[in-house]
Amino acid sequence: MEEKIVGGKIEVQDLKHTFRLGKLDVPVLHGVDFTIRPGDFTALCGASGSGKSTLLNLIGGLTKPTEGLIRIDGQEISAMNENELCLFRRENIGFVFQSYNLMPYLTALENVELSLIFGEVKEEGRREMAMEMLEKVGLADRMDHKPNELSGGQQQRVSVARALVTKPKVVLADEPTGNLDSQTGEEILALLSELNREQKSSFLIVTHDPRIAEVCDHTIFLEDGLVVNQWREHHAH
Amino acid sequence: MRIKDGVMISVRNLKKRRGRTILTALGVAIGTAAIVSMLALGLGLQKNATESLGDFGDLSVLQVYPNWETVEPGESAQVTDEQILNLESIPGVQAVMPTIDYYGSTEIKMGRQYSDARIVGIDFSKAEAFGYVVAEGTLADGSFREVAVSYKFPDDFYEKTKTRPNRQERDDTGAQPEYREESVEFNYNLGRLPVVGKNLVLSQMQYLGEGEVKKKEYKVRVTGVFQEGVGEWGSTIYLPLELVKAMNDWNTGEGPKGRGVEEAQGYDNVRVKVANNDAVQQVVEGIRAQGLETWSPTDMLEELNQVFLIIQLILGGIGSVALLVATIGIVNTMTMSILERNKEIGVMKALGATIPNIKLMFLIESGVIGILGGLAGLASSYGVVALVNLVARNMMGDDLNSALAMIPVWLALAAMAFSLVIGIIAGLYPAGKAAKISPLEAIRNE
Repeated sequence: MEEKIVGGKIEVQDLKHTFRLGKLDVPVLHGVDFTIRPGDFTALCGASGSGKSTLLNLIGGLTKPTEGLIRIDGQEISAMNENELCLFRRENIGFVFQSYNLMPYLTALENVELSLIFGEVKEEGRREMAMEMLEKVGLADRMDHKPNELSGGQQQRVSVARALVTKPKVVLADEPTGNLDSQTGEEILALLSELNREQKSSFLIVTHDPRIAEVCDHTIFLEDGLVVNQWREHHAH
Repeated sequence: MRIKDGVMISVRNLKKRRGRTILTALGVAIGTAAIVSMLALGLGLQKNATESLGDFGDLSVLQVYPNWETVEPGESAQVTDEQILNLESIPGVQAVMPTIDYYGSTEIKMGRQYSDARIVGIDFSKAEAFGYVVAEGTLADGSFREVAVSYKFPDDFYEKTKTRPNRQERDDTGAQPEYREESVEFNYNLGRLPVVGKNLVLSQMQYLGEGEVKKKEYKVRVTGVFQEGVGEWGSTIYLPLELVKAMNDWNTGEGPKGRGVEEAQGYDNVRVKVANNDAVQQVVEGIRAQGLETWSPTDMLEELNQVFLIIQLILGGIGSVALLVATIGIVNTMTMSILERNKEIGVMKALGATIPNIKLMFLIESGVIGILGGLAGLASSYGVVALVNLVARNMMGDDLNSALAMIPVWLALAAMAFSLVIGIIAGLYPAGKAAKISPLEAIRNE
């Protein structure tokens, strides 16, 4: 990368979150604390219902926590209003979704460009940036295909390219391999890991797949809304 | 996000849902076509009526006549010299010209040719203000020796060939010849005769009873022929006012040389030339304030305009109902579409689309539906108008001044603008709904 990206440091302190289901309050997170170092490739593991997806949404600024503090790169996003969150998201966060969530009426290239359009990137060079990113994820020959003409793995690659093209400080992935067969899942994982090393963004991947944890710098285990275990590997970058 | 990007995304989206887009736009198309065709018909009818009215003559020339409602029975109703002076002082009046018709019988001869032309007295000094423009020759100078004639005048001459009884046929025997009725043959096929510079002899005749006829002759020279469409329709000779007055007086035996003592009362017909069309209404009111009555084509035009306004309002109203239904159709379709695209909108928000971005995209989308419908509606209106005109031409033929229905450029542009606005207005509610969708929808997995 010509442009040096500094990954964001993610600080989570005493984070509590409660869902409201009708008249019933359902507590999901009970005071979560952890810190993710800039540029780390982090896995967030836990059983279904452990609150890991909620935690990811909170870090991504998609929703606001009931209580507690989230700071990304020094900015306290838990204190932001909706509009500030929106602007923060588009400049600092890249999302990869389990079911890819590409726009069905746009080509692979246009889907990647969409992030740049919302990111207010100037028209000149926008297309080139998107093409470069698609080449990086290995889809140089699929740029003009619509999502329904691509395999699941290919769609997820487009999704990864779309998340990374804006060069965000933090990349959040929610079960990125969940809809893929194990072979393809591993390929996507390898791609994410490779891009993490190359682009230096901080990656946080929600998964219940313990194999992912093996390739991560940092793994956080969540159970019933609490961090029950975490460890750091020391890879030579 | 720029409008251009928004348009790209919206158009792609609409293409993806082609069937639904077309159906929704069809509603707008029907509404637009209804309004535009109906207005086109209204405008065409109005233009036709206005043009027919234009045949009556110059809108800035008003005919003034006595107010018959205030005239006592038996009293002669004419416009007096005093009233004419008053008319001239009304603001906005450029010129006033009384005219007098000649009532008696006259024989008009030009050499051996006869004419049955009408004789009208006008004021030559004001002729030009009233559009009496000569096509040939010059305007008469107003002296009793000079006259001007209408355009049709040179066409309407005829020759008489009389077969007289009891003359040549009397033979030497001295016997009473067989009685033969006097017969006159008329030849009307003389074509258009040259008249400028020619002398006319006008012979006034008074029948005094018992076969006695009193005659008075005037010799006048034709100096000019007015343009076609000027003044009266038929064959007319225009004489100076005073001469016609004198001729009428001679007929009735009144006037300075006659036996009567009564003064000539005034004029049958007075024309008022208004300086410009905007002043017409003001002058009409001024004339009525003088106790005179007037009629101008603008009076009728105004009534017609009101009638057509009502027709247009009714027709436009029917179309508006259609368009209202179409608008609700857009709201419906867009709302449905947003419900289906909950997740998509959530993803866009997660990718950094702001609330104005989302609103813009949906407003563009509904605006495009509106424009598409407007275009299709306008196109079909042109078809309807062509059809109406075809049928009308077949039924009415030459009675039609111009097309029965017409779409002026402003109407076409207004229709497009209107359908765009309709689309955008219809999109307001769905767009607001879309903007409220939480980015969390992106994460939700069905």
